[in-house]
Amino acid sequence: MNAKTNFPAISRQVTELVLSGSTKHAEEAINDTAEQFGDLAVVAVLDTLEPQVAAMHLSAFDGGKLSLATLLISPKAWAESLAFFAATWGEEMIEDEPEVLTESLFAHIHGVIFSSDDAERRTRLVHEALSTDWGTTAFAVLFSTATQEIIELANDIHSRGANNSGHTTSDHDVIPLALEIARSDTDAWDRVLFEIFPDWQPGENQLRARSEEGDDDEHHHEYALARTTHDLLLRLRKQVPSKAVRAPKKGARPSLGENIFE
Amino acid sequence: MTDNSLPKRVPEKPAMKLAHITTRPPHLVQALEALGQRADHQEAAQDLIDELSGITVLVARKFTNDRTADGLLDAFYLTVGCISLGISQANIPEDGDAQLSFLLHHGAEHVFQMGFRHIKELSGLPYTVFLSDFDNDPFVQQRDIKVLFAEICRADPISAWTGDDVYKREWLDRQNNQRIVACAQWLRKKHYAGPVKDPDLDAQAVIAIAVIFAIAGDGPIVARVRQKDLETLIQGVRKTPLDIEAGWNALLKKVPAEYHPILRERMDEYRNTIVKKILSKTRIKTVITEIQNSYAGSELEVDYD
Repeated sequence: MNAKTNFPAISRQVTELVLSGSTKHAEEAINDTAEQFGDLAVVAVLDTLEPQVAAMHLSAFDGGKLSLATLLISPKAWAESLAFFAATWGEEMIEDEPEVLTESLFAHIHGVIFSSDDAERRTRLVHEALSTDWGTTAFAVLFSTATQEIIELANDIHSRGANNSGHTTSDHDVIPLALEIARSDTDAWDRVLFEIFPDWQPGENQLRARSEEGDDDEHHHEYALARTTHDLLLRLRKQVPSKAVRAPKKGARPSLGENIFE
Repeated sequence: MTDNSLPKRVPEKPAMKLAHITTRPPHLVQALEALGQRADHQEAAQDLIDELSGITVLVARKFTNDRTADGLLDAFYLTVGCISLGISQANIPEDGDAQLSFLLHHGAEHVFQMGFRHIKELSGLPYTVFLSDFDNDPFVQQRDIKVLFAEICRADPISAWTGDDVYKREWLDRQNNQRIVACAQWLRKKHYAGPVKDPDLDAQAVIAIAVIFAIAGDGPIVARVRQKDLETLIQGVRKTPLDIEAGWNALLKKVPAEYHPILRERMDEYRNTIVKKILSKTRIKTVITEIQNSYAGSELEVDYD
């Protein structure tokens, strides 16, 4: 019998386990799949999970705990799942404990990207995540915790190129992540910078962190002020796809779907 | 501080003669404006918005990026343009209400499909009269469709759109190319030494060779030559006085009528240029070089001996 026919069953099993809150058992099912059918089977299973299910499962594992899923998930599936990472965040949580949320987001992203030594995989993960709006916002959230360092790094990269930068800057946790992006995908790096500094006009104004006192209106034109972590967390929360959008339309005419290109 | 930054009113010039330029919004926008005028349009509007947003997502998924706002915006422009192209080529009066009825009758998805089929058909016609094996590559074909789609169907609803004109012009151009290619392929098939089988085709050159060789009188059709054949031809026609027009008429008699305009055009062009040179006392080598460079192009076989 073709081993492939087992995958839908495994996908369903993993989905049910995750949804029932048993990520441990789900991970066991994934491990079994790897043992029985190999890593590629796991990749296939993860690809067929609904992105919100994948997000739930992955978010249970971070830097501290190892998971086959974080090692093997395809970059595209991971990027899709990132959209749902903020789904469980309430407004009070964002208000009261932004650090906790940011920390968990960092642990997740850092964990997935640096779980493997495969530079090519890291590049693809970065690329896929940053070709989505939510992924760009998620990285911006992380970098907004070290705006000063990011500005320094951005200026450094601008003047010396990504490959010659980063040696002298701070040892903040997010710097390796930022360098990973800047070195592998310059467009992605620019997108993140624009997400943090929406008013940035390259060559026209300087990047600047928002100071504690709130000097919002001063030097308004000379500087592109950074969004705060709080703003970015809210932005990320707002980008979680809602069910309402996905509701099938009740129009009488059946949709052609992809056939509109035929 | 007084505010004097208000834009100054430009005095209107009395009846200045302007070039006749008609700008109009994309057809889809015209149709939607007509929809706004209709009483009780709620339901139709809701259906349309569902369909249009569904199409936009499909376009984004296939051509731009459905995971960024930029990608979706691009797809939105392409959707507006492609549906407008579908409406514009449907032979209905250029009138918002008629366009709307057409759109509602067929549904936005089908009208989009019509527009996209126009793009695919157009893409199937030769862009130049120089064909290569490369043109049959499915990857290249897909890429060409994408390029044309983006070029013709990008329509911003708040500004003028001329994609339908671009389409028409491009269609005529390519139809013309198609005829020239067909003519060359016909000549190749009738080549005196058996059909020429070469995936690369320089249609102008094939026609040039056939026309040039026909001056020698009623002979077999020549679609591809070696340099030596050219030399023989030139030496031959210089030796004996001949009736060029008779030779050309003989060629025309052999060729299907649909290709005559193409050949005649070429004959008119050559009569006082290269043919004159062939018959003159210009050095044979010079004439051959000119034929190589300006006429026979890549349809001239290279002699290695």
